[in-house]
Amino acid sequence: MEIKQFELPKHLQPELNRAKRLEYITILYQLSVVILMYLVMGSSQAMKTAWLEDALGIVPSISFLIALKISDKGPDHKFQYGYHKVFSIAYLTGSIALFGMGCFLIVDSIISLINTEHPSIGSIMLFGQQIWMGWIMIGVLIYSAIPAMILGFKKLPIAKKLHNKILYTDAAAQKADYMTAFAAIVGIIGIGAGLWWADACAAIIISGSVLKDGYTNLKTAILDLMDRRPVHIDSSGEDELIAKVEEYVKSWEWVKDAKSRFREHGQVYYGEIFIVADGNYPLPQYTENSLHDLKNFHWKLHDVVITIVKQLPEWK
Amino acid sequence: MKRITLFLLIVVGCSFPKDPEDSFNKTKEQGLKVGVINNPPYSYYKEGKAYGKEVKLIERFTKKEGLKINYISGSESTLVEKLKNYNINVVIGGFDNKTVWKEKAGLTTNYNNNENCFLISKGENKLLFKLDSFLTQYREDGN
Repeated sequence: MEIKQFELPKHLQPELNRAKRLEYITILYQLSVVILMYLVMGSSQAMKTAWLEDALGIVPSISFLIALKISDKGPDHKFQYGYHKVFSIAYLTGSIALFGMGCFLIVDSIISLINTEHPSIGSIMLFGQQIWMGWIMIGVLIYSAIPAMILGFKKLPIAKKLHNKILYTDAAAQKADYMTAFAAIVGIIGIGAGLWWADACAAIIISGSVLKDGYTNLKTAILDLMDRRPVHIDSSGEDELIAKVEEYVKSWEWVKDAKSRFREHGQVYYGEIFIVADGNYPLPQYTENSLHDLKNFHWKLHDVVITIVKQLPEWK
Repeated sequence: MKRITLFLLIVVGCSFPKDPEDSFNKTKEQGLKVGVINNPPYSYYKEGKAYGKEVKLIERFTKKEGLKINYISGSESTLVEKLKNYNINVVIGGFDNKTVWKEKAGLTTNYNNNENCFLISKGENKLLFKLDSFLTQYREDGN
């Protein structure tokens, strides 16, 4: 798939290709984790929770790859703003899935604690040795954590550079995957030590983390779709780029005063710049040139409209 | 370092898993309490004594572990309820992997190729481990 120039600047294209490769690896790896976990999980609630979390963990990778294919199309007659918002939609659906699953898991785990469910964990014959399945589960949990962490650490900086929220969420969740695995391992060891409740408690902790991730992402997804002012990818504050653009526009000789508003469309920004212009300049020509300058100012400013006004709009 | 980890694993591995309700240790004093349902040829009651393929099997197990054995006869549902409340340890009588009692009881490994197994109190993983080892051995020896 070729990346169209209007979407990403040249220096980010290799990053995007790396992200795609990493996501393909993630899908294959996650599938292997989900299959292995299913085979060994037995009646442990903690394993069930960790398993569902890992199964759900494939969703961001798949939606990233699908959304990428769609968003790559240029604007056409039907979708004149292009297809960038597909990322926001994918992000929203992914976070709803995560949030819903979190709710289900926390209720399910609490019920299993209230019912004082004692998980039975059997054993298997391996290399002529009777081995408690708990040890096998711990092995699988370690396998579900360490490669995931490495993938997460690799994807995180790329997600920041590309300003891609699905990729970022995916990377952040994977980076934190060791905590899920650790909680589940503690649960399994608890079962082995004869503490039946350790399993349900571990499951509640894991569900709590799924629910928290789901809630945070859902909130961000909704706020983005509500066209809030662009923020950093980790929602840590407003993107300074917007203030910088305003400064840049104000520095033009033909501009008396200016104000802007922007919103996020997936990984790029759309918006308007209101300008009170000096009437002595030939405005059509200057406006045209300025649009070109703005495009070169930063790749994220993908679709900008300049409006010449007498008075600047005010926001509360 | 590797050797120490391996050693630790083996030490912990031997005493793992434990029983939350201490079933296996209690059987040493109180004997293994076995629920027997009427389901020949697996298990049945005749003139106050338990007979059947699975009765023989469980007797081999108690002999190996040096345990006494107490039989309790009853219907499936009453015995499973007792199992659930940790009043008895095992229920036998030709159950298999698809038993309807899956939710209320734990299952041992299969002792033959027909997927037959015993029911065991949920979460009593030490007793389960002991039974599983015995039954696997039994299956592998071709009875």
